[in-house]
Parts: sequence; structure tokens; C-alpha cells
Amino acid sequence: MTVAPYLLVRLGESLAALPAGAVRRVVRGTRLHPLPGAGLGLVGLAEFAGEPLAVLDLAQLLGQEGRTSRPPVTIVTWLGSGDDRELVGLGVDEAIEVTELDAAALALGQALVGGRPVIVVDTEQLGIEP
Amino acid sequence: MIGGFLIVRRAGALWGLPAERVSTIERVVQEGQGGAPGAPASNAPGLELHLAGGGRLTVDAVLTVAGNLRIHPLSGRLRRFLPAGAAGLALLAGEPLVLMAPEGEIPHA
Amino acid sequence: MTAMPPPASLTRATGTRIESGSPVTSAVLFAVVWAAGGWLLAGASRESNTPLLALLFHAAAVGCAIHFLAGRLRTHGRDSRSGMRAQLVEAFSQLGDGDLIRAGELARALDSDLAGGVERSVSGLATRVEQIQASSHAVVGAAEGVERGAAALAASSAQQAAAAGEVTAAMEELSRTAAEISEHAERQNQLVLSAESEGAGGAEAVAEAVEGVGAVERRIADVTARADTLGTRSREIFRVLELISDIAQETHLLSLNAALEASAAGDRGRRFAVVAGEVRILAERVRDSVASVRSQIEEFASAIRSTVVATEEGGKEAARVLAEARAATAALATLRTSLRESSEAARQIFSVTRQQTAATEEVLSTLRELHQVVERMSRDLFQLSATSRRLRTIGLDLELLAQTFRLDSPRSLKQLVHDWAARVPETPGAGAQELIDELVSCAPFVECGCLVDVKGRVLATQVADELRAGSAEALQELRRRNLSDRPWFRKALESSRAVVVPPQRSVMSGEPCIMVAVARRGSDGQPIAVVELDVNVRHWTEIGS
Repeated sequence: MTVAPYLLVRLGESLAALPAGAVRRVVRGTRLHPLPGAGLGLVGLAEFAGEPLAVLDLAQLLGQEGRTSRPPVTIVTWLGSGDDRELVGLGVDEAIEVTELDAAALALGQALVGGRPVIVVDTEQLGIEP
Repeated sequence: MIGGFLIVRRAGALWGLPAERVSTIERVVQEGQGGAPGAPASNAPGLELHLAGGGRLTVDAVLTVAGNLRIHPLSGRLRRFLPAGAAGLALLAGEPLVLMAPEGEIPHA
Repeated sequence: MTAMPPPASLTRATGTRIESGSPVTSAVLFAVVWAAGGWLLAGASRESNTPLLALLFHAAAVGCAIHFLAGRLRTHGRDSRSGMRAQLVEAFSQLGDGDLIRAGELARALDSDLAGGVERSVSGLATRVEQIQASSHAVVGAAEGVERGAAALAASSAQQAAAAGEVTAAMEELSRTAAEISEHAERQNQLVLSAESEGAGGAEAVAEAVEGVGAVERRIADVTARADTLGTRSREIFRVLELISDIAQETHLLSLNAALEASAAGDRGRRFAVVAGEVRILAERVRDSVASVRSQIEEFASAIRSTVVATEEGGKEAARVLAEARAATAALATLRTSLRESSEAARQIFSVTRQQTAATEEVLSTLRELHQVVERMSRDLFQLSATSRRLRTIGLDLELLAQTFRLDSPRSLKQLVHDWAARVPETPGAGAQELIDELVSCAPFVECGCLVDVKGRVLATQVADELRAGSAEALQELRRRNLSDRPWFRKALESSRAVVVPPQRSVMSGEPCIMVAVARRGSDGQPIAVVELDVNVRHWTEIGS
């Protein structure tokens, strides 16, 4: 069975896994500029490597409700694929570890890590309205 | 004004307006003093932009007219999360800003 | 001028009838008595009664002489020279009546050798009587002087005794008070001594307590300082922990990013991924440790805080106790000082009052002695006073006895009144008052003079100058009175001799007065008027002294 590396993150009480290949960097304490009139999923604008970075709330994107405070950790992630690829910041509560998951997990959209359910995020599709 | 973007601050965020959209900038006297239009980092409240095609826009400050901005056009993905009328993102002196399309409305706070 | 029965001695002296007796017996008696009198007079001292005795003896001798002579002469009177004898008898009869002047006159009419003898006897007698008069005068004066002196002395010694008594009483009071004070001071001293020893113990206890509290306070301060230090250290530790935590987080991120890079690097990044994993684990361990340490320190800091609070409370409490203890110590110290001072004062009082008591005792003892002496003196004076009064009485008796003799002497009252009577004119009336006034004013010893007619009516009367003011009423009364019933008046009328009445208390002056009265006879021998004098004994006796 093939495994693939995933970055395990925490969103509140739940866990999510992001494909390691899509994650450019994990950053913390980056300056976030909130944007008035922005959609609920946008945490704010930041700067990364000399470029503007839009930071979205991962929990929001995954459909989780009840977000109150700004997520402290930003996962700078490639969303989309090919030419459509763009760097977007994903706000999470905590970046835990890089771990290996079954390759099939992505298709499932979830996995179990240490007995706990983990949402496996498809970064190529994330944020695209169906 | 031709070309470039007028960089303004409004509601705590930086915005870039296509320069040709702004006909005049007028000081609206409320309190405090300010510099001449176009003076950078002015914090004087009550600046009114007279827009071409009518309409007014009150801004907190007018920072500069930037001509050589590296524009990052908004993807469809992100367009959803940004205000309507936003065309792209840029960076000015390390601070990210939203560039408005020529016909886009800068949202209120 | 009330009548008083004459004293017995006077009756004996003047009422004795001359009786004849054996000449030999008489002569021997005379000689013995005279000799005794002369001996006593020679050996007399002024303060004793011997002059009086001497005088009495002399008087007795005179009586004996007269007795003898009368006897002799009665014998001689049986001779044929009856005319001479009758004259001689008459002369001696006058002598016997005390009229030495008349006796002298009669004697001079006798024949020469008898006359000479009789005259010598008469003049000798006159001299003796004069001496008696003078001496009795002196005696009365002296007796009065002694009496006055004794009275004054008695009075002053009585005063002294009273004063001494008062002083004694005061001293006794003082002595009692001093004893009380002394006792009190002694008790006080005892109390103070016992209080002092207790106070010393109390002060020690307080000092210990203060010391103990001080030690506690110091410890508390120590603890608080340490707690402060610990608090500071905890804060430092927290900061360090924060730092470590931050580093741990960064390390964690670093490990994650490294792992991501390693995964992107594929197989070649595998070893790198392992290292990154270990780094991540390390970072997590650090994070956990930090969390643990932080929570422990939180607990510790919380405990310290509550300890500090409690300690601070305790410290405040200790400070309060300390302040109170210090105040108590100060108060005790003050008390001890006061007690010592009080004790010292009590000791001084005790000592002084003891001295006082001793001194007072001495004084009291002296006073008591003095008191006794004064009492004895008082009694002696009283006796002396009584003796001097007796002396005075005897003196007066003697004076009167002497006054029964009419002599040509200024001391003879009878002669005096005779002289005055002689100046009364044959027809008294006009000029009587002037005469009486003159007589009274020239004789300072005369209190009152009276001229009374044969019927007893007062023709003129006057009192001495100094008595005039208070005696107006008495005089008025006297002028109205009839004196014919008075014994002295009747006697004066009957006799050719002056009458002497023994001393009585005068109405005018309240002092003893002798009354002397004589009848003024006309050429026909009939009485015309009676001259009467009240003689103040004191003034009379002061004359010539």
C-alpha cells in the first residue's frame, strides 16, 4: 500500500490533514490585515515571500461553524493545480506533525490517525464552488 | 491622472483605485489638519474623492499614486472571498492591498 | 463709809484700862520685852515678818512702860503733893489715851525734875511711836507692793502656765501627727518596695515578650523578603519559560517545515525527515515540560502569594503587638521611675518624721518640766500673795494702832485732822465749803472731806479731784444725809480726841479708806462742828516711801 505524507493540523477539536506536497510553509505570528466587506472565509491579507497572500479560514472552508478568534497558525498552501495553482494561506489552530497516510485517504476524504478521525483535505479542489 | 493606482486607506485597509477614476480629491473639513492631496501617510479624516462618472468616496487617507505595482490578479477561487469590484492584490511597502477594477466599488467598513 | 466692827487687837490696844501692878515685875517685863524687840529689829531682814514682830514687841514694851509708870505714879499719887500728883495723873492719863501732845503739855507744867523725867519719857515714847508709825507705813506699803508684785507674777505665771499648756497640747498634737505620718510613710514605703519588685518582674516579662515579638517580626520580615524574592524569581522563570515556549514553538514549526521539505525531496529527504521528526519531538517535549513547569510555578506562586498575604497579615499583627508591647514597656518604665521616686520620697518622709518625733519628744519633755515648774511657782506665788495680804492686814492694824497716838508729826492723822478742825471758824457756814475744798485739794491721800454740824447735817463736803467725775451722785446723797446716828460722829462729839475708824471699802473709789474725825470745839469747849476725813490707805502709805 502506498502512503503519502500529510501535514496534520488541528481545527478547534477536529483534525485535518493536508498533503505535504501542497504545503509550502507553516508560519506563525504573521501579520494579518483584516479586510472589511470580505467574505466570511477570508481571515485577512498577509505578506509572504514578498507577495500578497490571502488567508482563508480552513475550518470555514471545510464547513465548520462557530469560529470566533483568528487562527494563530497559517499554512501557506498551494491550492488548485497546474497553471491554476495559487498560494493561499490557510488559517489553522495548530500544526501538529507530518505523518504518513494511506494514499487512498485522499479519495476518501478522511482517515484515522491514532484512532481519531481526520479530514483529508484535497487542496486541488479546496475553495472551488461546485 | 493617467495610469497607476491611487492608494488610499479606508476602514483600516489599503486599497488601490485606478487613477483615472478619480477626478479630484477634496478635503472635507471635520477635524484636524492635513496635508495637500497626495501627501503620503496623512491621517487627516475627511478626504473626499470625486469620482469620474459621479459619486464620491470618503477615505481616511491618500497615500500615493503608485505606478509600478506588481499586480496579482484575483483567481476565481479568491474572487469569492474578496469584495466585488476587487481585481487583484498587490503589495506596497510590505503591506498587502486590494486593487479595484475601474468600475469596482470599494466597500464600506 | 459703812461702819465695821473694829478688829480685836485694836480693842485690846485702846480699850485697856491702865491697871497698877508690881513695879519689879513690870520693870523686868519691860526690860525683857524691850530687849527682845530691840534684838529682833536689829536682826530683821526686809522680806520677813520679823520687823513686824519687832514692832509688836516695841508696842508691847511701850504698853508695859505705861503700865509700870502709871503704877508707880499712882503710888506716888498718894503723896501729899496732891495737886502735882493730880496733874501727873492727868498727864499720864492723857498718855494712856495716846494724846502725847497733851501729856507733854501737862508734863511741862510739873516741877522741874519730875517734869524732866516725864517729858523725857513722853518724848521717847513719841519717838518710838513715830518710828512705829513710819515702820508700819513702810510695812503696809511694802506688803501692798509685794501683793501687787505677787498678783502680777501670779497672773503672768498663770498666763505662762496656760501658754505652756497650749504649747504642750500643740506639741503633743504635732507629735501624734508626726507619728501618724511616719507610720503612713513606712507603710507606703513597704507597699512601694513590694510593688517595685513586682514591677521589675513585670518589666522583665514585657521585655521578653517584646524581644520575642521582635524576633517574630524579624522572621516575618525575612519570610516576606524571601517571598518577594521568590515572586520575582517566579516572574523571571515565567519569562524564561515564555521564551523557551516560544523557542519550542519555533522549533516545532521548523521541524514541520523541515519535514515538509524532506517529503518534497522524496527518498533523498528521508533521513532529513527523520531528523526533522526528532527535532519536532524534542520541541514537543520542551513544550510539555514548559507547560508542566509553568503549572508548578503557578501553584508555587499562588501558594507563595497566599503565604505572603498571611504573612503580611501576621506581620501587621506582629507589628501591632510589638507597638503595644513597646508602649507597655515605656509605661512600665515610667511606672517604675515613679515608684522609685515615690519610694524615695516615702523614705525621706519616714526619716524626717522620725527625727521630728525625736525632737518633738524632747521638746514635750522640756515643756512638761516647765509646766511643773510653773505650777509650783504658781502655788508659791499664791501662797506669797496670801502671806502678803496677811502682812498688809497686820501692817494696817499696826498703822491704826500707831494712829491712835496723836503726835506732832505729819504722819499723825489725828494731828492732821486736829489742825484742820482748828481752822474751822466759830460760825461755820460761810467759807466752810472753801475750807473743805482747800483741805481736800492739799492732801492727796484724802478721798473725801466733810464738815458736819452738831446736829449731824452736812455743812460742806468735797472729794478728791480724780474722784470728782464719778462721785457727783454720791456727793449729792451725802449732802442730804444726816450723820447724827453714826458712831464715829457721836464719839467725836463726846470726846476731845480724834476718832479713827479702821479701814473700810470706800464707796467713791472702792479702795480701803480710814475715817478720821474730830470735833471742833469753841472757846467754851462746846462742839461747833465735826471735821471728817476719808483717807485712802494706799495713797496714805505711799507718802514718804
